[in-house]
Amino acid sequence: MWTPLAYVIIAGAVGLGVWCLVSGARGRYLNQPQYSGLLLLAAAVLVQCIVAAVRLVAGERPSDVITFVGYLFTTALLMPAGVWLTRAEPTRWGSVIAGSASLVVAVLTFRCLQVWTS
Amino acid sequence: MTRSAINTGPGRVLLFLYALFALAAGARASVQIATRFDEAPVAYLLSAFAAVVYLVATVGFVRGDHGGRRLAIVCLLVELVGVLAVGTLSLVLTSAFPDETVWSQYGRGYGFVPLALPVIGLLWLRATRERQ
Repeated sequence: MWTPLAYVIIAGAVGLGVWCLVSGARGRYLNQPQYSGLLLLAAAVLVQCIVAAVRLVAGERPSDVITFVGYLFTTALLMPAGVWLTRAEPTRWGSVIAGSASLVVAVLTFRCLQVWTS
Repeated sequence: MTRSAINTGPGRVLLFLYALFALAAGARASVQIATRFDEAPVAYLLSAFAAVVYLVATVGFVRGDHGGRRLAIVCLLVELVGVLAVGTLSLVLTSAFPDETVWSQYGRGYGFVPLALPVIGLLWLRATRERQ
């Protein structure tokens, strides 16, 4: 993993997640900045997963490599699925999906970082 | 009859969460069973079983038709019984669960979402039930 990017992802994902959930609670779909943020977060997560995969292949090993790969796999698939379902549901519930996906990405990235640096 | 659609609106949030849990539990169970099955066979098999239940429930929500609804109801009931039974057993018989499962301690390791999901899901399926 690339630690600085992981912190950026965690902070951004928590902020975006709360913002989207607030929109959902107020009955609104994502606005343009929120949607752009979601795509940006998805791109950042993708970069992080590629970096982690390359470093794994290059021989770097976290203490619990198996757990790490499990988390990484889930993280990699989470955002595309979240973006796709958010687009499919252009109502307040789309905002809830986007918010949930963001918060889960924050948790998963945090867990990945814990395993990577332990 | 749009009211009976289970895979739109809140249903799509449930679909997302079920797919996520199927993936997370499945990935975790696969690696555990493949690499250190002997350490905690009961826990890992339970994780795998939970993953399958989440996956089938996801399929039910995606289908959204009459059969899909029934599939989802059965899965959610199994899930609710599972999380309550495993949650209780993991507290009473700690030695039988040397490693965590999705349902251990009522899903505490996953923010109790495994306990909340079947309850919310069943309420949603009830709210959208087909009128005769």
